[in-house]
Amino acid sequence: MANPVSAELVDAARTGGRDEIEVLLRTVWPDAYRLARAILGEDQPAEDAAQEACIIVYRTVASLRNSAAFRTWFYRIVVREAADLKRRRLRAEPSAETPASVRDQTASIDVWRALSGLTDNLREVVVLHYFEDLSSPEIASVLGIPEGTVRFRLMIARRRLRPLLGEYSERFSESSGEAQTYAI
Amino acid sequence: MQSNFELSCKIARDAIAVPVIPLDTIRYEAQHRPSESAGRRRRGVLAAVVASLSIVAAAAAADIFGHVQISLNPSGTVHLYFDGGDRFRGPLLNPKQQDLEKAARAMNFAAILPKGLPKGTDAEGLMVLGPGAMQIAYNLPGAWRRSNHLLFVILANPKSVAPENAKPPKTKYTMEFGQTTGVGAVHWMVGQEEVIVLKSTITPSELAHFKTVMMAQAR
Repeated sequence: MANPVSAELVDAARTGGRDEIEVLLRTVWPDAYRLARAILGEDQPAEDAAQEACIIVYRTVASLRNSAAFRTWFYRIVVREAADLKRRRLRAEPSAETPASVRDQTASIDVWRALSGLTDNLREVVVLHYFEDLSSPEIASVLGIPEGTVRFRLMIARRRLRPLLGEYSERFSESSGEAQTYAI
Repeated sequence: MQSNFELSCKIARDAIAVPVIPLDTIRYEAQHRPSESAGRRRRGVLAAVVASLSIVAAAAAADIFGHVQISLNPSGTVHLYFDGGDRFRGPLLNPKQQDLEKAARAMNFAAILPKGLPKGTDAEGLMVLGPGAMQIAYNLPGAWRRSNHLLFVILANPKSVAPENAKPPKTKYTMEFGQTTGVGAVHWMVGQEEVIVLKSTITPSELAHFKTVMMAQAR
């Protein structure tokens, strides 16, 4: 769950000086990094993308008209920076495949493996929905796409994840002796 | 009811280890990057940098030695006071050895350039802070430092370094920079030079080696 960013904090950053902006950045940095990490699947690129997003926030937060829109605005920047970074890396190393993600040792389902099997478009909506708890309208606003497209992508993503999750389901069922349903 | 996948996502998200925010870099880039577009991070450029830099118009000029006064703050940052904006030159990015030597020759003291830094350290930026001081920004090697590769070393005339608890002079320009976390914020004398190392990810052993080599140069 993302850290809540109070409207007062955003207001202070919009109207205040360097100190207020930096307080805001310190607050949102974990969210920026985690979101970028979930999209990119690697640590260093995620840090680069989160850093770029924070630079943009630093420079432009004063022009944000509505403090309540900060969360969506901020996520949009992080997602865009992550996507840009990924594109640039692919251009620089077209044959390079995404390195194997770190397997999650704590979750019963290997989330990273599941995510790495999705295309960028699908991965973004899944991350925003399941990691960041964003609703379809919010995701639509972040990605700049219609709500219907968000729902469609989520549906496709679930279909693609189902075989993989099924595999886990069987393994989990064997070990626990219980039938598991993965309603994602 | 929360699905297993949803729950796993939450767990996976919370399990992501978040690095320390590279606030100095963000601040500098936000203030100095010319283009609005967020291009790829340019380590070479940002390394030239003063971690945070603000030039503030203040009162009239005062008489300070070498046109610059360096004030070390307890937090580890430094304040530089200039009696004229033209005294500040730089940053020169990716300076060569001859650039450093040229700047050193222009100082009003016998400047001894840094030696003994970790192998693979590159000079990324040079700022001439009047004839009384110069600052070199280094890019420390090692992926473990993540985004915090910058090391700032100031070589100054001891007469330009303010005594502890000195009142700040009323100068036309003030610069403030330096991190508040990390190893460093130390200074020592080498010959006629004051070496000031700001906080960074340099390790204590690297710093000790650096100091030893610098001290040996003066002998």
